[in-house]
Amino acid sequence: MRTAPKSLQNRQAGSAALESLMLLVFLIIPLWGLIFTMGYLGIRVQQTHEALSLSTYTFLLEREAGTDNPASSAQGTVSGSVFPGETSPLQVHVNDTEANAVADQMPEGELQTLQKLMGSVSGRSNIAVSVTREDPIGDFDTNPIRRAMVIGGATGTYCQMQDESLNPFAAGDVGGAAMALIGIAGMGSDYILAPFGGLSGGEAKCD
Amino acid sequence: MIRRLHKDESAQVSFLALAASLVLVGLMAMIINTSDVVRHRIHNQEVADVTALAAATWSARGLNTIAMLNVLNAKLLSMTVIVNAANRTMPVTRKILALSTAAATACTPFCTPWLFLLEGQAILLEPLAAGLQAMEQSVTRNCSGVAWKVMKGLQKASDAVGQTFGRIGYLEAPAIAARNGASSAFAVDGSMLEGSLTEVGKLPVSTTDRTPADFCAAMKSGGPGFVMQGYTDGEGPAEHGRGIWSDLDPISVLNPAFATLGSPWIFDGFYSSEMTRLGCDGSTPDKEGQKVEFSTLPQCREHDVTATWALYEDETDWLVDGSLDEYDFIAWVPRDVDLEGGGDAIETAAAAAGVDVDDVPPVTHTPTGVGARELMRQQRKRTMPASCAGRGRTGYPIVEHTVAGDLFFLSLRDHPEFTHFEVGETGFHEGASTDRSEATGTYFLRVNKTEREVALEGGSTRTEYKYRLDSWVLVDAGEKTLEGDELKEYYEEQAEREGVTDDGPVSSGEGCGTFPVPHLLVEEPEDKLRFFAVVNHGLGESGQPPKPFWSNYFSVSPTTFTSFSQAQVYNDLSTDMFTQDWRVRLERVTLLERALERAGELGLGSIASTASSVITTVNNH
Repeated sequence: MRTAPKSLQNRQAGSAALESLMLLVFLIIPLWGLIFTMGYLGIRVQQTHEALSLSTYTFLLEREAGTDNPASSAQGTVSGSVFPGETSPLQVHVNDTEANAVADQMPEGELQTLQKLMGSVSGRSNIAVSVTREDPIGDFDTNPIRRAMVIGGATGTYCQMQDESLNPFAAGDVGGAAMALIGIAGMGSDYILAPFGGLSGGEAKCD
Repeated sequence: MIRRLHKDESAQVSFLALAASLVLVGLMAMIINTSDVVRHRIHNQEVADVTALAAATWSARGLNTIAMLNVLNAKLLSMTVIVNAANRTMPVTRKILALSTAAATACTPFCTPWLFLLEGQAILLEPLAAGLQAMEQSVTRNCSGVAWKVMKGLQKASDAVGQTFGRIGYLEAPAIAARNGASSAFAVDGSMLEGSLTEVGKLPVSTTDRTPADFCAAMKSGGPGFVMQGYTDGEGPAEHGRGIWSDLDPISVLNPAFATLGSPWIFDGFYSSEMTRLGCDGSTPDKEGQKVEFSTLPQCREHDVTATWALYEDETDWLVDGSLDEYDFIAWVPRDVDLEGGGDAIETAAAAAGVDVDDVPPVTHTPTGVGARELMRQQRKRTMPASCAGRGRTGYPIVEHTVAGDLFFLSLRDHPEFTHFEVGETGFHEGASTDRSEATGTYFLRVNKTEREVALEGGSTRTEYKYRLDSWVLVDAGEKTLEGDELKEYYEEQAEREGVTDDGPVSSGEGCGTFPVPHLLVEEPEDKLRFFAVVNHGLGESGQPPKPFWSNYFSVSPTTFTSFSQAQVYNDLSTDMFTQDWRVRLERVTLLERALERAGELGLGSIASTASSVITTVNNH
């Protein structure tokens, strides 16, 4: 049986090795790298969804409780739960576009707060969450991953309305209506007003 | 040939690499596909969550609005209690002040400081009493006061909120889902489980079987909703108002505030009386009957009750001027109108009398005519009942009349010496007839003029005159507890006279004379406050993301997604409907399981089983 010359055998072995090396370097490693990266990004995207869902829910709770800046508060809570150990990976933005639009169309004056209340009641909030896309390799852009969700308006808890200056019992609004009632009678006595509301110096009962 | 091919190992690596590459590409496609499916499913679930929350939010919003209106009504009701009690305190206070002044005068000069204090109180008392009376008349009086109308409006607003907000939530839920990219969605509340379609979309609040006494606990003891607003824990608005009066020093009679503002225990008595009217003393208010105070003689006659008249007897000192007539003694001054049928313009008369017209309530015995400034201090006031019951009983008092030394008794209206005045919308009307309303404030006036000759130094004389003024005023036109149709007709007439369209009573089946009642939760509203949402996404459908290209090759890869969610409306602070703290939260989907159980109970087992398997398949897909 004839065999290939030794030199040819050596050359063929070298070609196979080179071919394997090239496949490894130019195909298999990049493919696996891509798969790992996509898997990583998939996880990151799902984390973003999870963060959006959690942010939405936390935002609702914080807003109902009358927290000063519910979006910021939700961001702090969710960031610590979903992205522990990362530095500020999550940004939560809230746009109450429709509520503001309704309120802005109203004229300035005594009834503005009530109009804001109605604006809030009929409005919606657009919650946008953006998560920093951390690049494990360093060769990709780090544009954040963004997801948004439209939620309904406010539930109108007392604290929520107080926080948003929508308290109808505040002096300028229905309290003002009380003043008008008193004015009809030609009276302005605090003794009469006091049981009606608008008490001053009350301890803040909301967050 | 075959053998040679078997032995030929050339390009084997290339084939292996190709196969491996295909596997790798396939794996990559599966990873991307799985990631995409999971992403769509997560998004769909998020949308289902916010859809359920959106529906629940409108109910929470409605309950908070109703709680706010309940609180507002409790405050208004408290205001009426406080103002009315204070107003009723004033006459008693005035008497205490008069007695105190008499006592202080008797012991002067030892009591001069006390007398000085009491005179100071008198200066403060009258404007306060006048203000309270004016406020009672225009703000807190039952049926006609502004506060009453506001309370009525608030109660109707609560009705409207209860009927509409839940239904708006039904519309809002699919709208929110659509804005988040859903193909279709809907939300229902737990009332569907009971099969009561008429209740779907209504908030679980009701005024049925409620009484004004349901306000009492909130008015007296407040609650978490009032604490949030700054009230002391355990103190409601009525109790807070009462406390202001109780804080006055009840011990020292010398305290100027004592007589001016009324003894706290006197006020407390009237306060308790007002609260009793609401049923706050534990008694059950009469839901069928309503005590109505009439304001015109025709009403007095129609309902056979007894009117009350007051007689004021005043006189002037001896005057030199004898030209005054009865118009100059007009005593009850309507604001901003001129006298009709003679006399001076009211402003002129008031200016001449040194009285500010705006400070004078319409039916207060405050003489302001040109001649009235000459009147001495009110000499006597007495009240007299005048029956409207029975034939010929017109509601006018019977007054003595002497003709040529013979004594007769005549109805005031037929008495020739009295002129009948009525305060109408446009001013005073002389000779008022029964076709007018003859409302409270109607009065009859008689002026007697006496002359005397007074000798002056130098032997001359002059004539002096004294005028005596007798005036009868209709104080009230009686009161009666009305029921049923009689009560309804009364309020219809009232509304017609006032030009107010009154399409119904304040509370269920009752008239405007009935105090408002709060909207409270119906029993066991838990399921009613649960909202179940279903949301669908169909990739490739109109307005949806396109189907991924590999869905053509991986037939098992889903392109439609269905998600369920359940939200609950809750109030951890209190469900008393005076606490504006209703919120929403997600919870485990129990309504779906219960709906399937319910379908089984209704004999729809096969449908329920099929639905269950479909849902399980969809959920596990």
